[in-house]
Amino acid sequence: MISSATTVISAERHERLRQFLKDLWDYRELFWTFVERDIKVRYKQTAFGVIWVVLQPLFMMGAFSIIFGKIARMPTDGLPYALFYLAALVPWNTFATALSQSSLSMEANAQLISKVYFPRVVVPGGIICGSFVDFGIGWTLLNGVAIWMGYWHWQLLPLTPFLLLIQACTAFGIGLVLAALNAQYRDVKHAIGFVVQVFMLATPVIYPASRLPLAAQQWMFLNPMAVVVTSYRATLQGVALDPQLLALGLLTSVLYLFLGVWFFRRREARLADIL
Amino acid sequence: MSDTAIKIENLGKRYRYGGAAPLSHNLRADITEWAKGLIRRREPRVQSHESQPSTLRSPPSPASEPSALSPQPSTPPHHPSLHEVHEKHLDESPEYFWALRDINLEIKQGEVVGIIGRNGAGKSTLLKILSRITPPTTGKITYHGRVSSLLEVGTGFHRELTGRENVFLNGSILGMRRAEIARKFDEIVAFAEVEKFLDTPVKFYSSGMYVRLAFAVAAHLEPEILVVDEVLAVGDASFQKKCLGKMGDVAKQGRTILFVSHNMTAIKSLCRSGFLLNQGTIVTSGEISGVIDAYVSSDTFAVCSRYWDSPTESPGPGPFRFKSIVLATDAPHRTDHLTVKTPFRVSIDLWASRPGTVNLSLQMNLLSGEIIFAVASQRIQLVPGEARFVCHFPSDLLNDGAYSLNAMIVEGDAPRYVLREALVFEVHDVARSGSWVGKWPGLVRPQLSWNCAQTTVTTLP
Repeated sequence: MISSATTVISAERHERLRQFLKDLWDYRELFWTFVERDIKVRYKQTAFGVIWVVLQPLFMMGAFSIIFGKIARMPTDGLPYALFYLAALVPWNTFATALSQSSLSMEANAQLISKVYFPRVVVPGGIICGSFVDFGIGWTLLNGVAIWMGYWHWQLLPLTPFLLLIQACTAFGIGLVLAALNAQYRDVKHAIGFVVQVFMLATPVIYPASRLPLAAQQWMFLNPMAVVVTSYRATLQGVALDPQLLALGLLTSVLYLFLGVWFFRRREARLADIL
Repeated sequence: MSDTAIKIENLGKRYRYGGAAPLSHNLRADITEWAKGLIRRREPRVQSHESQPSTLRSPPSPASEPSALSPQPSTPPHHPSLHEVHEKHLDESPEYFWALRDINLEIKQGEVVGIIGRNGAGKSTLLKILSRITPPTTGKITYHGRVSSLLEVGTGFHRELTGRENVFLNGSILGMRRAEIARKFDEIVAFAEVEKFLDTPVKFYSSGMYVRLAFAVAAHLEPEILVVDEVLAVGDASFQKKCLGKMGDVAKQGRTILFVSHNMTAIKSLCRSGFLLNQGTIVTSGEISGVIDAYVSSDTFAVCSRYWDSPTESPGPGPFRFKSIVLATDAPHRTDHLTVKTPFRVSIDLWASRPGTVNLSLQMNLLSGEIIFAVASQRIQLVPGEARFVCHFPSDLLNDGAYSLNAMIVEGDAPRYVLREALVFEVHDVARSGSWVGKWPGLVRPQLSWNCAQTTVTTLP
């Protein structure tokens, strides 16, 4: 009856990568449970429920189109304002939500973390995964609007999973660093809203990437979200994509992911003590 | 396969007083140390404190220090990370302490072990390390099989989710497979007696229903090792019995249980062996009744008497000062083990440096600060010299728990001085006939007289 699996707890235990991966595998069901919980809870006791997922980007699209389009006359490289902004807002909004939620996830689950063991990565990981649902709905909306306006391109279909991967890796990587920091320095909590706003201004959401200075365009891959947004727009415009930019964007996002996991793992074991 | 379920070697855990250091303090220390490290990077010295035990100011006990500190002094020099800098910072300050020190234990498979100790003795820390919530600072634990820990009832319950959804959520969090939860689902619901409310969000549950559902999930865990903190103190008496029964069944199936409780009756009925923790070390271990005796007779926490040698040493301003405050009992009762059935008295001596009309007021508090009651003596005329005030507390007044007593000197109508926490003491429950029903509700536990009799004999329509 007693399983022969032997576990050793020691000060160095959490430093071993094999142990980390084994724990992740052992707790895969909990990961899905967290994803399920987050999705279920998100729109409980709201009158509009899931409709919010559609309303939010639509409202923002409208506001951006009027303010930056009709009033500020922002150039769009030939796209209608509605599509120009929707193509950026759908990935950006899910990214921003996932990033800020995962940054605060350790604090939000402090009660759980101080009472039960599980690989802590599971919590922000679940949040990133859960954001795919919102993205899926927003993306369907984007496709609908693109078809309606006659700008739809088949390349959108194969491109999306690839761009979503870049987006998720970036949100997860940066989110992990901020989550670990927020566990110790609650300053992160106060800074996160501001950081996300600046991040948005640094990403070509409001303006087209072509308006960036040339030097900035060359280093754009350092902000993988810029690559994501630009690629969606380029596809809708029917412009050929830059494979080098895509590859560099993916590479950077994976780098961010590894950095985040590395940073988080160094602090993971002590989280329960400092939260 | 050996029959040892858990082996603990040289276990130690270091904490800092008052939790993590204040933020600005932390961040500034981290950054300056880190910057210094950058400058010194090329110097051939080992930066990590863990490879340089000699730089420790004074480890409280050297016994296990080197054993678990991983890197040997031959480790190549490296730039300290923020984490290491932080560790070093903690080590160099006198503000850290060892919550657990040199714990060595072997627990056999199928044993039910009670862990006893006062608050802050290290019980919860030990359970947290066993549950992998926090890593040990030194030493290691080896165990076979799956550990489930119940440090709290209803961990991870989400208010907005329904009872059904929470069973799956909570079960997963406690380490059950989803298939396993689905298999036991009906049993869990029947145990909790909440069938009708399964699809109601738990925020609408009564606290009793909530606890029942939470414990029902936990009671259906089937780990090889079960770690239970004082979670049985919730719920009503009949449900407690049901849970205890369920835990007894678990033990009979050959599982190993570690059980922490302040309730000696529960420990006695459930455990055969145990150990007593005091200030992070094991004081006594072995057969449970011996360990309980050792706990009951030890006294590391209470302040049952205070003396001052002269009026100038006595605290407070004014012409009237405390000379002594003593809690006393008459034989055969023991001052070091007050029970709810022990009558005791508090005897206070005062110095008076001038004449005055003085009375004393005593205030009984919970350790959490809530006032239970206050009593005042009659006023007496004092002349320079000494005076004694004695207050008699009958048995069957206080409930079991820890209490503190404030003493106030009043002259005329003016309070002169309040001595806070003049005495601190614990009142224990006495063994009652019948099975354990836990702590009685209420702040006091008076024995009141009853008149009970049948008045008429008739058949009701």
